[in-house]
Amino acid sequence: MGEVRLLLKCREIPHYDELEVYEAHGGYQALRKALQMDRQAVIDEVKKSGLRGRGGAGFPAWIKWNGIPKDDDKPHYVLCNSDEGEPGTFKDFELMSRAPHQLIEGMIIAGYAVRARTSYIYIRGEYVECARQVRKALDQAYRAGYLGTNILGSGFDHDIYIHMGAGSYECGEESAMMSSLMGERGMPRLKFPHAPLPVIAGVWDCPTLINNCETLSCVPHIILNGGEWYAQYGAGTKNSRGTKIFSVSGHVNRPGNYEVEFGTPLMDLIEMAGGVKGGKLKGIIPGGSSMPILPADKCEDAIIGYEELMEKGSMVGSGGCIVLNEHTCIVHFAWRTAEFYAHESCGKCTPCREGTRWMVQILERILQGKGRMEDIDLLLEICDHIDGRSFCALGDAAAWPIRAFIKNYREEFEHFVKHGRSMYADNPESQKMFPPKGYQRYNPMRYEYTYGSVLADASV
Amino acid sequence: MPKPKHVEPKLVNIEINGIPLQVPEGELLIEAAKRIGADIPIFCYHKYMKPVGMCRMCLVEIGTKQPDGSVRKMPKPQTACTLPCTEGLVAWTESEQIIKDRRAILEFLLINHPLDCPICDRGGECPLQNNTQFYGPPVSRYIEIKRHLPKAFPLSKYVALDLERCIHCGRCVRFTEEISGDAQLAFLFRGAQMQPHTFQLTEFTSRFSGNVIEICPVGALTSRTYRFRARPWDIVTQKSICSMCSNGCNLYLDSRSGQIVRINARENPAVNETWTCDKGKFEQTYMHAPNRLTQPMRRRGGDWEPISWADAYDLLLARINEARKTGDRQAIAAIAGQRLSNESLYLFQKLFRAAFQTNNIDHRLTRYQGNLQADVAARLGYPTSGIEYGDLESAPLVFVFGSDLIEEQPMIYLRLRKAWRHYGVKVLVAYPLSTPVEEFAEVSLRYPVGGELDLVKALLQRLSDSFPASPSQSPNPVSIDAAASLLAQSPGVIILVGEKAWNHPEAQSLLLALVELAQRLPDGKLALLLPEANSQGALDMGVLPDLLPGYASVDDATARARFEAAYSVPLPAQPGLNTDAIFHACLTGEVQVLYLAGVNPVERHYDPALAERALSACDFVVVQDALMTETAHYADLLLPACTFAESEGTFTNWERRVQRFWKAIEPPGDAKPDWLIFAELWLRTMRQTPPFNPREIMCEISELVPSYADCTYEMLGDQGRRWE
Repeated sequence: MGEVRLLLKCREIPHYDELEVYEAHGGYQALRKALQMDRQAVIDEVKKSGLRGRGGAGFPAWIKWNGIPKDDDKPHYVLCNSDEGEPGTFKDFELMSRAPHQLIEGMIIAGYAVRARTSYIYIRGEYVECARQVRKALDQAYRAGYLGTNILGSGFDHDIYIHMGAGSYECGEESAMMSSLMGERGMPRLKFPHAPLPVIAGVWDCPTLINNCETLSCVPHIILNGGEWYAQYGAGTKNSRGTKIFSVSGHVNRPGNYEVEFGTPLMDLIEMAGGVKGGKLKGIIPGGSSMPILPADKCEDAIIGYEELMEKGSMVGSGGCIVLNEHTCIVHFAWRTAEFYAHESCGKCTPCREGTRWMVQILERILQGKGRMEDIDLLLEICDHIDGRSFCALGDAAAWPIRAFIKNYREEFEHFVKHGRSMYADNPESQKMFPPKGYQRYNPMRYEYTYGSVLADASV
Repeated sequence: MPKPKHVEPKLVNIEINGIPLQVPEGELLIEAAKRIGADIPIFCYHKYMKPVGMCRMCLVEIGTKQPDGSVRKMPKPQTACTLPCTEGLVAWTESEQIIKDRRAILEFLLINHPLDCPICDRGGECPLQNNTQFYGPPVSRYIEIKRHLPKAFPLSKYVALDLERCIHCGRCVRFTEEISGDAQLAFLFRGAQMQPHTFQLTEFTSRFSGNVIEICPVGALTSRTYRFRARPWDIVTQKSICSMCSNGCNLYLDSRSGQIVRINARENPAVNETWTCDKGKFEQTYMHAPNRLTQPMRRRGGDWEPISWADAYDLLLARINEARKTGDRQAIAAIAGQRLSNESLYLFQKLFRAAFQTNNIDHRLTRYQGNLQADVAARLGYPTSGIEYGDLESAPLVFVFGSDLIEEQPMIYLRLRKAWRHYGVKVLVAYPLSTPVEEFAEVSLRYPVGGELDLVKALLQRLSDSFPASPSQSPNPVSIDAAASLLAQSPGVIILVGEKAWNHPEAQSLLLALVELAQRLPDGKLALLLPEANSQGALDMGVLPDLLPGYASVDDATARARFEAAYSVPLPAQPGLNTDAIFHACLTGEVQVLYLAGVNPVERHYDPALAERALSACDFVVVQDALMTETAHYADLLLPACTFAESEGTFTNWERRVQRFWKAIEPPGDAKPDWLIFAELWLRTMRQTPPFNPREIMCEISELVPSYADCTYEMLGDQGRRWE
């Protein structure tokens, strides 16, 4: 239990992003080992490790690996999802900037296991520093013969390309990422059972393995030390194995990335981060802003694990752990969350496009002191109409937190509506967190600012 | 893989609303639901486009039947428009949950819709209105300020965009991407600010832009030619066929107080699916042109003198009788237009062959005026086209020869694009200039202008070494080699031959070379693309100097005997003059009376100067047309005719599909349908009962022309019939 530094080993070693340092600490040994192994043996090793997707959904990684056709003649692709856009999550940032070789090694092993010639790393547009680090590491790996043709004399060829995003949260969704990679508009595509899975028809209709940056970074450790070794971490949980990096932020004394074993109590994680700052704990969003909030009483006995947190009513998600202290006004927080999703909705499907914006408008009205009591139930109903009806998970991600905020802190909303001001309006600690007076919010109702005057004088 | 001609579908058992049924595997649930009459509301789904599931209107609850008979329900509702049917699928389209979800989706869609239905062109025929009436919430809970955006932004000459009304179904964007392929429209911005628009707000320049107006489920895209001219409930809709080219698109003509205000596509899966081109949709306005002829007129000095129909007939017949008495057989000649209906063309040839005893009739204005029967049909077994639209999808390779398809045959272009996109049909194109087909062609042969014959000879030479070597003036030998090997490797090639072949100086040799090419290729098919709406019908109806209706030669006594028995007069056995010969005979003074029915040689003949000189030289020129054309200025007698919208009849399109059109509006003034003019002349000269309506004429045609034997109006229906 507690902190285990596998992926974040880089922290203790200076210059871990340089090839020599990485090699000196056992780097690329896993690749050498994997290239000696049978492809199926590599997949079996991942299966034994119990590795699950670290991007949010927690889908067992080996099923994807094993699902790639084994005897077709189409090109296969590996796609690394480093479009880390979830508010509160910054684990990929550290993994890419401090241990890029770890990720690259994992990708080459994945490419070897699924017979892919080409891989792509889709890096969030804002992560320029990461892209530089990955670029540097790729160049070093090419020079050392870990990439390119005939890798380490095994006859296996592999290339990795970097693709930078352009600032869309939606492109972190795997099918939208494929669209974006292919040069289309970053909108999600049909999924199973409406269309074949990406492992059958993904990028350019070819089998594609899509894994999160953290998932792929785990692979070298699994191959080097064996699946059973990895599975011993988190053995106490129902079905979560290994370690997970949590990006702890908010009202804690030492915010940052903490890699913990599954099975660690949630409060231990907060203690690692230096404990709650500025007051008592109000609630924790354990898995990034799209996950439901856990109020303080539920946090006490919460255990980190996919099923364990699900039972508490939240999810591990991408590990963006946001801690709120008792002075936080949840209505303001809900508004800011809703605004993010309204801004990031791609516009493809009706519930998400219209619903997210409607929610922001209602919350904004409440903040202006013009709320009505029925607005709270209306918000809940809008959440019900978005959740499960939208095209991709962005709609769900927009609805879950709002619903959880209202369910858990309904009295704060009612107070705000009744009095036209926050429950914490007179609290000097809370006032620090309110947006400054005269703060010009992004207003999704104002279209002129995007259109300019181009259309203003046009008419039939 | 090209689409297989016919596959026996594998059936799967599914259940919708408790009704078990069998449907082909992979059929979309929304189509399967139509089989039992379950209505699933839609916005973004369109039968001829790839489903996307954007609007979420068609949500249904689904489950799968387990081996033990129980049903496992999926937790979330799924879109019916994207779900392929599989064995054991169970769906509920009317459950309580679904009713709630539909109401929610409509509430979402309506929060930003301006609800300006009273001033919206779509009002009355709007899917958003209809779905709201059936499934929507009675009131809105939205009290915020609605979005405001530019209204009626002119995207192009034809299309106006109202961004406030848009519900972001993406049909228009998908149309330009998937169907027309010009990718002119795209979504700008994202989320609630998303807008369909052209890139950089440039002009929407597509040849198929009108379709987006029809497929828009709200009034966001409206027609600038129809805006505010009528409401859906005060227009009269009539079925029709497009008269602009030989593609034979099925149309609806919408008229209001005798004016055609709008033209929409009519679905015919075998022909235009549900598309039209902009030419057919917006430019087909000649029936209301200011230069319509409304009264018979004769030339008096430099002026036109209006006369009655009776006087016009008397004058015409007097001149014809005079010419027949003084001159020989060559003294009378007639040219018919290729936009006349089959019925009119049939009566036309009957009138001139039987009543005026001349074979000097023709309809062709191209350089090729040879005998198609001898040149093509005798060798290949069919006179012009051996294929239909659907064949393009199942061919391995289509060779587009000498045709700018998008310009000449827009609907064939769309179908070819679909065949390439969906079924992987390879395309080979030969054209002297850049053409949009090149964008998806496997090999593109750009030859020097006029080099068609050299190109075909070069190809023939590559295909067999014994053929004499071609002159050096051929395009890049590398691409010719590639083209030849492609042709040789694909059995069942379809060669589409366009306008460049008809108007080649050596048109006959070129046509023979192309026939040879089709014969040389394994299972090769030739399709000669015709220029006008009823060019094929004019050939079929024997408006040719040497062929009777049904491609029987005029000097074939047995064939003639059948017609003679029907008309109870002997017919001339000597082949007559073709168009060019008629014009030359006019110049020498041999032809004294020239009858031009719905034809405009001064503008359309390949050599307008020759036509002009011939018309000036001819003694007496009769022009029967709907419009005061350039040709009409040379007339001595003008007879006002009807357009296709004002009369009834049939057109035969390039694939030999005979299709009916109906009378949509009343003719202006004294104008008469072409068939009626010929029937009245027949009555006056032969003293025989003429046919009273086109239906009767078609009965006569079906008795005399074997290929039209089952083309009576009862058999044609409204989707037409292809004769074999």
